[in-house]
Amino acid sequence: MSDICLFLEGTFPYVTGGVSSCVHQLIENSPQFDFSIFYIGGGSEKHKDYKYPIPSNVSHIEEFFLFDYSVVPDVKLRSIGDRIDITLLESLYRCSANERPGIFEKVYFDLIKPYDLDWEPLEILKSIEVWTMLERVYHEQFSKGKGPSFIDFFYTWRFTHYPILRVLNGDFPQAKIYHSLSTGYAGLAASVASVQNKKPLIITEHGIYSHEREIEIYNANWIYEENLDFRAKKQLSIFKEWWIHLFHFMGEFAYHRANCITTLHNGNAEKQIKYGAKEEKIEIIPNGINVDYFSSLPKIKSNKFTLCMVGRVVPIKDVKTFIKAVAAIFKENQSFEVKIIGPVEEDPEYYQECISLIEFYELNEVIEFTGKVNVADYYPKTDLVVLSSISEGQPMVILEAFACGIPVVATDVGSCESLIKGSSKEDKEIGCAGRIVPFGKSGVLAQAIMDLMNDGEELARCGNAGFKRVQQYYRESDNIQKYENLYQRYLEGVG
Amino acid sequence: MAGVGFRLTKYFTEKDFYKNVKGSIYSIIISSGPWLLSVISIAILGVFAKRSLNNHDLFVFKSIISYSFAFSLIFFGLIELPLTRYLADKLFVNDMSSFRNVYLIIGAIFFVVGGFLSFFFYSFFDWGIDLVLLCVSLLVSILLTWHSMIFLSAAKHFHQIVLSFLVGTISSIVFGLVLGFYFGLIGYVAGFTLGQIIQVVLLARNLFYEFPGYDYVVYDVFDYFVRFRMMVLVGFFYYLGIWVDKFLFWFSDVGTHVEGLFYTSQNYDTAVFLSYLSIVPSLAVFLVNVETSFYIKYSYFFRAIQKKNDLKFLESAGNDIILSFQNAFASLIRIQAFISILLWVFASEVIEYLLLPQTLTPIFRYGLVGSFFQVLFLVLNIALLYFKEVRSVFLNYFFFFLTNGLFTLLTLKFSPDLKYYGFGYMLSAALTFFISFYYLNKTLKHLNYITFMRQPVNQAIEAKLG
Repeated sequence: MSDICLFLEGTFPYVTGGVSSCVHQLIENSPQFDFSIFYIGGGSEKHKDYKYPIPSNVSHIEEFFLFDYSVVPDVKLRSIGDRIDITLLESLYRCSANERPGIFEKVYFDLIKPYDLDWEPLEILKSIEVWTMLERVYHEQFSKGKGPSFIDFFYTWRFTHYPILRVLNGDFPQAKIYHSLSTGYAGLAASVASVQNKKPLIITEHGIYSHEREIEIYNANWIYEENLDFRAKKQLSIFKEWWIHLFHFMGEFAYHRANCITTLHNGNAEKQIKYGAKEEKIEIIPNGINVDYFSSLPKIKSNKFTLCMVGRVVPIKDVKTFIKAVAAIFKENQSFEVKIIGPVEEDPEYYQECISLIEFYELNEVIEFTGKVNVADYYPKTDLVVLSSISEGQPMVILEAFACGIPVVATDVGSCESLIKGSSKEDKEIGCAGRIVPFGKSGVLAQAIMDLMNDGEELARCGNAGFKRVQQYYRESDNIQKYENLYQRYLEGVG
Repeated sequence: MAGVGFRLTKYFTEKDFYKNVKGSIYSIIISSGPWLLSVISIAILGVFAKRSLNNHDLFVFKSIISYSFAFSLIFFGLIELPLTRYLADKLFVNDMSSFRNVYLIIGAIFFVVGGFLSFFFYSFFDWGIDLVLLCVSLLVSILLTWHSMIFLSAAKHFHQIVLSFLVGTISSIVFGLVLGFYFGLIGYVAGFTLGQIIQVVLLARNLFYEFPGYDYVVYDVFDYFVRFRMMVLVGFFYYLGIWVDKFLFWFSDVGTHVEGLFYTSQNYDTAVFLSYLSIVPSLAVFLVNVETSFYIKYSYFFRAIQKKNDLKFLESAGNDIILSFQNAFASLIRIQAFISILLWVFASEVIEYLLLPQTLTPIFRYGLVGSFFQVLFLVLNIALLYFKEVRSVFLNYFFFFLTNGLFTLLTLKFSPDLKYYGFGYMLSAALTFFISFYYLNKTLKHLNYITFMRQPVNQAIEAKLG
C-alpha cells in the first residue's frame, strides 16, 4: 500500500504543463512518501512515451483510458435482472442531465456500495431495463410538443454514462490518502476509491475543471444543436447543457466527498464555492518556484530594451493582441526587440495568422519566435515580461520572471492581479510588480508597456517588488511543505 | 434484395392488363427463375428423352441435373448473404461503381473452385473425359447463374433479363433434343449444358450493360465475409436444410444407386419437387408486395433516426413497419393458403394428370404443407435479416437443417411404406416457421431497443473528446 495515490487526468506523466510540473516537483521533493499514480486519459496517449522521468518513490502506475474502445467486451443484449437497481441509474441520469443537488448523495453511495458485485458496465448499458428506463425518462421529460433528436439523446446518454459506469466499477490502488489533481473523471475516480477503501480524499484544482469544460463545450461543434439559426444564440442546446451539467455534477461529487480542497488562489476558491464546494474545506496553496535557481542566473545588459512573452502560441494566450500592442509601441519607439518564447506547433493555423499579422505591421525585424527553448537562457537578457492571455490560473511565467527580478505586464485573468499587486495586506505592502490591463485591449497593453519602458526607475522598483513577493510567498519549498503538511495531517488522522 | 420489388411496383400501379402480366412474369423470373425454368425444361426433355434413352441413362441424365442444382446451391449459399449485403449497402449509398468488378472477382472464384470440386467429384465416375467436362461446365454455369441472380435484383432492365432466361431455356430444350437424338445421353447433357451456358453469358452481358466498369479493382467485398462470418453459415445451412431430406432418401434403403456416386429416390424427389412449384406465386408476390411496402417503411424508419427525429416519431415509424409487415404477411398467407389447399384437395387429380403413380399423392400432400410453411418461414427470416438479426436466422436455419434431417430419418425408419414419406419435412418446416415467427415477433416488439443498443460503443466521438 502506498502512502498517497495521485489521480491525474490528462497530465503527468504523459502531457506536459503546469499541473504536470507541479506534480513532478512534489513527488521528487517528497522522498519520505511513497506514491502511486492512477492516470486517467482519453486513450490517444496509450502506448506513448512518458514526458517526465518517474521519480523512484513512485511505486506503482496504473492507467485508465476513458474512451479506449480497443478492449470493449462483446456483450449480448439481454436483461440484467435485479443485479443492479435501475432506479439508481435513473437518478444518475437525472443528476447528470439536470443537476439536482441532493439526489446525488444517495446515488453515489448506493451505486458504489454494490461494488463487490460483479458487473460489467457495458452489460448494464445495453440491457433492456436501461432501455425501458431511457424511453420513460425521455417521454416524461419531453412530454409536450416535439422532443429533441432521439439519436443524439441516446448517444449523449451513452457517451456520458459509459465512462462514469466504468469509473464506478474501477479497481483502484490501495493507499492511505487519495489525492486528485482535478475534479472531473479523476475526481470521481478518487472519490470512489476513497469510499471503497474508507480513506481521506484531497482535491487540488489548478484551474477549475467544471469551468474549463463549460467554456470548451460552449464552443464545441461536435455536440448537436437544434435550430441553430435562431434559438441557439439565446440558449444552449439541451445536449450542451447536459454535458455541462455532467461535469458540474462530477465536480460536486468530488467536492462533497473531499476532506480537503486546495487551489492556487482566491479567485479559484470563489468559483469552487459557486460550483458547490464548502468554504471551510478550501485551502489556498499557491504554486511555488525554485527562487534560488532563477535568481542566480547572471544578468546580461543589452543595448536594446527586450520584451518577452512566454507561452505556447495558441489563441488562449492571445498572441495577436500582443502583436498589435507591439505595433502601437513601434510607432513611438523603435529601439527595442521582442521575443515570443514557446512552442508554435500546437496550432499551426493560429501561428500562421500571427506571422501574417507581423508582416502586415512590418514588424519582422522586431519580433522573433524562438520556438520551444529553455527559458532560462532568455531571462537574463529580458527587461520586461508580458502576458496577454484571455485565461490563466496562476502562471508560472510570472513567478519565474519575478524570481529573475523582471517585472510583468499581465492581463486581468486568473490570479495575475494578486501576483502583481499582492493579495493579503502585508503582501500588498511589498508594492506593485508590474501592470495589470484588461485582456483583448492592445492600446491599453501598449500604454502599460511603454510606461515601464520609459521609466527605468519604476521598472527597477517593480522588479524588486516581484522578487520580494516571490521570495516571501511563492517558494517551491514552501509549496511542497504545505502539501507535505497536508499529507502528514491525514496520515496521522488515519493513524 | 432491397429495392427490386420497389422497381417492380410500377408494373402494378395501374389497371393495365398487359403491364400487370409483364410485371408478374418479371417478378416470377426474378424470384425463382432459374430453378423454375430448369424444372420445366427437364420435364419437357424428360418426356422426349424417354423415347430415345433407356431407363438407366434417363436416371443418369436427371441425376446430373439434380446433383448440379443441389451442390451448386449449397456452395452458392456460402456466398449469397454476405454478397447480397454488400450490394445492398452499396445501393443504399447509390454507389454501383464496384459491381462489375465484384461480379467478375467472385465469378472467377466460383469458376475455379466450382470447376475444381466438380471435376474431383466426377473423377469417381467411370466416364469419358468428354462427359466429365460437360458435367463440370454444367455445374459451373448453374453456379454462375445463381451468382448473376444476386446482381440482377439490383438491375433495372427486367425485359432483357427475362429474355435471357427464355433464350437459355429454349436453347437447352432444343439443343438437348437435337443433340440427344443423334448422340444419346451425352447429347442430352451437351445440349442442356449449352443452353445454360448461353443463358449465363446473356445474363453476364446484361450485367455489363447495367453496371459500367472502372479501371480500379476493389477488394472491400471480402471484408464482408469477415465481418458477416455468420451469414456464410446462414446461407450454407439454409440450402443444406432444403436438400438434407433428399440426400437421406437417396442414400437410404428406398433410394437407388444409379451410377458412380449418383443415388436417387425417384418417388420422393418427384413429389417434393412438384410441391415446390406451389410456392412460386408466393415468392413473386412477396417480392413485389412485402418488399415494397415493407421496404419503404423500413428505410423511412432508419432515415427518421438519421434525420434526428424525436422518440415519439420513431415509435410511430416503427409501428408502421410492423403494420405494413403484418398486412403484407397476412395477404401472403391468404394467397399461399388458397393455392396450397386447392392443390391439397385436388392432389390425386394433379398426380393423375401428370401421368404419375398415385402412390405419390400422400408425399405430394405433405410436400404441399411443408412448402407452405417453408415459404412463410423464408419470408420471416428475410425480414429478420433486414433487422440484422443474423444470429436468429442462423438458429432458425440450423434448426431447419437439423430437424429436417432427424425427422426424415425417423419417417424412413418407422414408416411402413411410402405413405408417411415427406412427413418429416412437413413437420420440420412447420416448427421452423413457429420459431422464426417467435424471433421476428420479439425483434419487432423491441425494434427501437435492438436498433439503438446494438450500435457499437466505439463511435467516433472519442476523437472529438480527445
